[in-house]
Amino acid sequence: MTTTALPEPRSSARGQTHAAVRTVDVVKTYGTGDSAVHALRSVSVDFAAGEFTAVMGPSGSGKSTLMHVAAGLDTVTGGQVLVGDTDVTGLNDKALTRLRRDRIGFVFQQFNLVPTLSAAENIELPMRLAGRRPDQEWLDRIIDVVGLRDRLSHRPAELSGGQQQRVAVARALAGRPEVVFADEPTGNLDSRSGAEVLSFLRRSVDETQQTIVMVTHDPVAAGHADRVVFLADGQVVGDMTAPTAERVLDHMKNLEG
Amino acid sequence: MLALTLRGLATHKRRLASTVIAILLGVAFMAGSMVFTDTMRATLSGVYTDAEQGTDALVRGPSTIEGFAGTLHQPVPEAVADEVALVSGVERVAPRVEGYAQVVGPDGKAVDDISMGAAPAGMAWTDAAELNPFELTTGRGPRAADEVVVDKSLADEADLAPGDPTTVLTAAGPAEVTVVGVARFGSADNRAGNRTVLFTLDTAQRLLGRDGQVDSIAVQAAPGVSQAEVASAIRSRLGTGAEGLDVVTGAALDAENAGRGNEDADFFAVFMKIFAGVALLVGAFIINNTFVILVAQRTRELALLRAIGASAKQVRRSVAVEALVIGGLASGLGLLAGVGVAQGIQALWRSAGVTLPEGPLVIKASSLGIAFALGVGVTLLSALLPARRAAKVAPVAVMRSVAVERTRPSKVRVGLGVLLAVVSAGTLVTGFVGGELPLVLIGTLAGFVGTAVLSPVLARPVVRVISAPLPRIAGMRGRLARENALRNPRRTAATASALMIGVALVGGITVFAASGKWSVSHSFDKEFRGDLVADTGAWIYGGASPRMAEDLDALPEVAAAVPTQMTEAEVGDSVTQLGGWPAATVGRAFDIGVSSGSLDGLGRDGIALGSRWADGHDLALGDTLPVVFPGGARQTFTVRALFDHPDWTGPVWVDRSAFAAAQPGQLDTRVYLTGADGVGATALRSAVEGVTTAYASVEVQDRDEVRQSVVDEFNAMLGVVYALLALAIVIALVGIGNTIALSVVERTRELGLLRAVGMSRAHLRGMVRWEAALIAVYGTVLGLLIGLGIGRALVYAIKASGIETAETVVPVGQLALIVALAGASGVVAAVLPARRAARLDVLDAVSST
Repeated sequence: MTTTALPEPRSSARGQTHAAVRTVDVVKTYGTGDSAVHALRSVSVDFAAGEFTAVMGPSGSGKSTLMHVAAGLDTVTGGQVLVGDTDVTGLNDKALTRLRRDRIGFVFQQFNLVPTLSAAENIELPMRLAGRRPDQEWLDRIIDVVGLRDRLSHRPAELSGGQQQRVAVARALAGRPEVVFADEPTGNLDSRSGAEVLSFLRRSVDETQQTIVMVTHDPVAAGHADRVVFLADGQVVGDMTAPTAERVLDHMKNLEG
Repeated sequence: MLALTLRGLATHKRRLASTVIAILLGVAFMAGSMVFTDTMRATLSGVYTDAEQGTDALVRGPSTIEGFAGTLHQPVPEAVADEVALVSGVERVAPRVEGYAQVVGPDGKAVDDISMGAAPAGMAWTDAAELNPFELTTGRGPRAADEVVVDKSLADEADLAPGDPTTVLTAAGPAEVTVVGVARFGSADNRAGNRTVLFTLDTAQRLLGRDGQVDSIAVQAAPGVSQAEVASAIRSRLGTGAEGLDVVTGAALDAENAGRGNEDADFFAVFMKIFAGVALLVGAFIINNTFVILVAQRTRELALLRAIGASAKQVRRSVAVEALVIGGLASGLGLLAGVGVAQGIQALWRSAGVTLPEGPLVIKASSLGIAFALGVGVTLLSALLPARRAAKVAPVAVMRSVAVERTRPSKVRVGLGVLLAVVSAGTLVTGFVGGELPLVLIGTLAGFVGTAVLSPVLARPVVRVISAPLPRIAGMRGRLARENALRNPRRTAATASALMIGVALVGGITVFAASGKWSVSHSFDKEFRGDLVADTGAWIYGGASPRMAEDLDALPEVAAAVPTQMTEAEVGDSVTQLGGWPAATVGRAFDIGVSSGSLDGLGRDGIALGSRWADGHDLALGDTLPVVFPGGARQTFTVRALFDHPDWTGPVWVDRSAFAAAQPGQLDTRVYLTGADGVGATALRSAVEGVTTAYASVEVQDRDEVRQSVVDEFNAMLGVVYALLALAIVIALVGIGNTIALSVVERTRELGLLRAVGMSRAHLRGMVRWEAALIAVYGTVLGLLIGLGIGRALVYAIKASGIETAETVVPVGQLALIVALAGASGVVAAVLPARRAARLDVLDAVSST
């Protein structure tokens, strides 16, 4: 039940010392002068490899912003972001595009899929863009894990919300990226579909050492993670290992109260 | 509500930019062509009215026939002029003579190409300033037989000034003269496009074939005597009934000239209005498409308005107001641009060799008003259906996030489309064959609308086929572009429709021109039996002296010289072209395929008819046919021969001797030559040219050169047509760019997703460009299919109207080029939207609501 802000990389409960993604004193400010919005105020976090980390906080806490800068989707006003050994802070658009394509996976809250492509094509999309041939064995495994074998030729319009998110997860995992960023992946799903998606994410971490960083406001979702980082007002205000839904809920109440 | 609409317009300026451009171009074209025709009309009639101010009355011979360029009159004995001068109330008279006269330029070639419609003329100069429509700008009038005054356009073209010698070709042969003055016709540089050279009266009579005669007598009334009074005084003195003389007042003459000016301008008017109509039609498609998309995009906004209490009527009116404002603004700008367009059109016709009268642009408020009203009207109409759909948006749509797509095309749509296509084909063919322009227009319109209706049904299968190789060529980009084009067939079809129209017309004209060029060359090859043609370029008016044919025939290198003459005459009950050929030798020039009767007995009173022409006019061998010649001679001919290949001789002709008797002094337009046995091509040519160089307007051509000049003439017309159609195509491309831009806005999230998972900017641009290319190619393929139909119909009509050897030729190479160009243009049209798509901030796109 430790709640400390940690600027140094530390070993996780699983004995891994390597950080898949690090932010070092990251500052993100929108606008100038009186109307400036300080979304992130010097945030330093390490996301350990092979871990399932949840980032939580009330709305306006900067959790989504943190994910965006960590994933190279947004630039920082100050500080550094490292993905593996690569400093992504100064990369140009081409390099960032390659980064997203080859080394990072995404699952958004909704509109994850290209409506004109089938489920199978959506899953292979990043690899197709890279011109790489997918590892068929790995692909088959993922597809079976998420249970989409009989839905592969369907278009997103023919899939339920839960199935769409599973496709999105499969796509994110298919390329074996260094890290998967998930932004409220269960936000639009009913509790059962949501639980399914979370369990897939969990399994990928357990069985294949995938690194996952998930932004969420749902304590139940956070309960699936190995670690929860709490944000408020653009700063890290807490860190919890081995979370459960109840403990997280309590902590959130304290934060807001 | 109004304020909301206007505010919305201001915010979305960029969205509407391309709609404004489309309307602007269409209106500019319409306004430009109207200004152009108004200018032509005014200039043509004004030219005469202006110059003939001082003429109070005109005495001329009885009318003979209604020629192609107006009513023709018999000449009058010159003694009549003296009689008229004695009539009380007549202050002064000036006899007028007019005939063929062509100045030879400094390069030895005759000035002005007669065959493009201008008629180079010689006239008689009068020192009576009131009665002289020409006004000196420099020098003096002619006094001696070898002195002439030239009009300013001639002086400019041939670089002539008082004191310069020159040669003038006339019916009596070439005349060596000296220029003593330069004059304007009223305030214009020449007489409505016809270049004129002026002699003394005596010289004019001698050179222009009017010995002892004049063509008309201009009369100036004494002070205080009105035009009507002097005219009736002349009539009673001359006793018009008996002699058939025609006396008209100056005012009546003005009206006649104005009427003729209108007729000349009418051809241009119809031609230009068709193209303007095409531009507006294309514009209408674009506007409609734009509004459909705009309404679809604003579904949620409109639903919100409905949810908070706006009535359906208010919503509908809001869209209508938007259309009105856009239409008004764009049309206004279009009017301004229209003036520039008018000048451009003038330049275009001039570059194709058509002689246009000069003068300032005439801008009528009524014409501008019509163009403006059309622009606004079309915009309103095009937005009408989308406006209705906007009003029907249910308030609950506020909560929904995705627009619903229609799935199956309705049976009604398919049925209606097929019906329209059939109707179109039927009316087109009927219209062409019967020469009924309204039917042709209706048929074409029905065809376009029918295809537009069917297009969404056709879009999916056709685009699927066209784009099949795309994923292989362009990988993921191609795959996505293909799917995007397929996912909303209605929109793909609507966007492509505008391009389809322009391409259909281009394709149709291309097929027609290719067929025409081939048919004419083929027919010439098949039927021409000679080796060379000596061509004066004349049609009905002008030519070379018959002596040239005699000299050519006398050459040892020439086995046969077959001259031909041409005029317009009243044959039976209609005015048509009448040819004069030497019946004995015509067969050495052309294989005309006599089918019944014989040319041997043609003689002085026999007439030969094309068999189809004869059938069309209910004539058979042995029938009699009254003919009135333009010079006034009347004669009844008997049909003595029918023949099957009239393409080169014309379907109506008499023997040369009969022609010469009826039209003395008529010139030869062409001489067809066959070389003697054993004479080589070069030897023949140099011998022939040795004779023809003296006749400055004559060009000697061999088979290949004749073929080439046919091709060149077609190409000149093609150039004008393509240039006019280019506008419609530009508008259509603007429409494609527009649609792509709007669809990019719609797919912001999707595009953001693609960028998030690793699609590079270049890839994204490529995807958008391929999509545009696909739509463009689809529209082109559809358009070419229709174009083939139009071309075919045109050829069929030509065949039915008497040109026997018309065959449809499909220039596959040219059509393939058109398809390739269309694809490329589609890409160009999408450049800006593609760039904007790629510049989307990934984050904004991914998290947009």
